Amino acid sequence: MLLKNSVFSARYRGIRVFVYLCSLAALILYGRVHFPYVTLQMCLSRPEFYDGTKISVGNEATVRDVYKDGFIIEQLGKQVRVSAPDVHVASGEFVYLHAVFFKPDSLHALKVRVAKKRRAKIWLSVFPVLLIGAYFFHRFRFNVKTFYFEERRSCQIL
Amino acid sequence: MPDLVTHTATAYFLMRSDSFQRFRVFFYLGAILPDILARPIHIMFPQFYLYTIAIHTPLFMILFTLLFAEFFQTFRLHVIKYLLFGILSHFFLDLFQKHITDGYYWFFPFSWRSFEIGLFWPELPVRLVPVWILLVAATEITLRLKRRFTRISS
Ligand SMILES: [Zn+2]
Repeated sequence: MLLKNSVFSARYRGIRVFVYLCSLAALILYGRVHFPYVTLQMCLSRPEFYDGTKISVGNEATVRDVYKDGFIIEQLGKQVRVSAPDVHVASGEFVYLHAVFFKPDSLHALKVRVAKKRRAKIWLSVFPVLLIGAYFFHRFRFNVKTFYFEERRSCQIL
Repeated sequence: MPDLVTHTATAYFLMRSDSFQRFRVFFYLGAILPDILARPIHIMFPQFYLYTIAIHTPLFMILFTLLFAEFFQTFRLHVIKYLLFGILSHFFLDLFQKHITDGYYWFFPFSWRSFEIGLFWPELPVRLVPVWILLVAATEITLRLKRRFTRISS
C-alpha cells in the first residue's frame, strides 16, 4: 500500500509519463530497425542482391494497369510489373501478394488477394471514431491547468 | 482489422448493461485504439509503415494504456481495466482474420512470429455493417421502450 501510494503518487507523475513515452518510442524504433522480412522497397533499392527472393507485398499497393498475363502495381510511388496469369484485378484496387522478386523490377505472383472493400472499410471506420470521440468529450473535459481529464459535472455517474 | 463499426458494435453489446455505464466509454475507446493509433499513419503515410508495426501489438497497447491513465487523477485503475479489456476485445476479433502477408505480431518485441485463426479476410465484416447498425438500433429502441413502460406502470 505504501509502495503503491509513493510510486504511483502525483509526485512521480512526470517521471512515469517520461518513462512510458520513452518505452513507446523505443518499441517503435525497434520495430523499424529489426523488422526481419524483405520488403518490395528493399528489393527495388538492391535488385541484384534480392533477385529470386520470395516476398510479401501489402502496404497500400494498388493496381495501376492490367494486362493479359499480369498487371502493374504501385507502391510508395514506384511501379512494378507483376506476372500473374489467370488473376482478375481492376485498376485502382488494393492488392496483397506473395511473390518472387526478379531484377530489375518485376514480380512473379505466387498468391494474389484483392482487397475489394478496403476503401469502404476505411471510410466506414471514421464514423465510430467520431462517435466515440464525441461520447468521450461529452463525459470528460481536459483541464489544461492540471493536465488531467475531469468528469463533466452534468454527466457524473456515481 | 475488421472495420471499426464491427469493433464498436461488439464493444456496445459487451458493455450495454447499466452496471458498466460510468466507465464503458473507456472500453469503447480500447476497442478501437489499436487501429486508430496505427492505421491513419499507415494509410496516409505508407512510407512510415515500418514505424507503425510496434503500435498494433499487446505490449505497446499496455504501455499506452498506462500512459493514458496518467491523465486521470481519480479512478485510474478503472481507466486501465476498461481500456485493457476493450483492447483485448479488439485483438480477439483481429485474431480470427486471415492474411496472405504476415498477420499480427502478438509477442513483439520478443518474437516476430505471427499467429491468426484465419476464419475471414479483413474486408469481409464490412458486408455485415448494416446488420450491426440495425441490431444496435433495435436493442437501443427496445431497451428505451421497456424502461419507459416500467416507469409508466410504476
Ligand atoms: Zn486491429
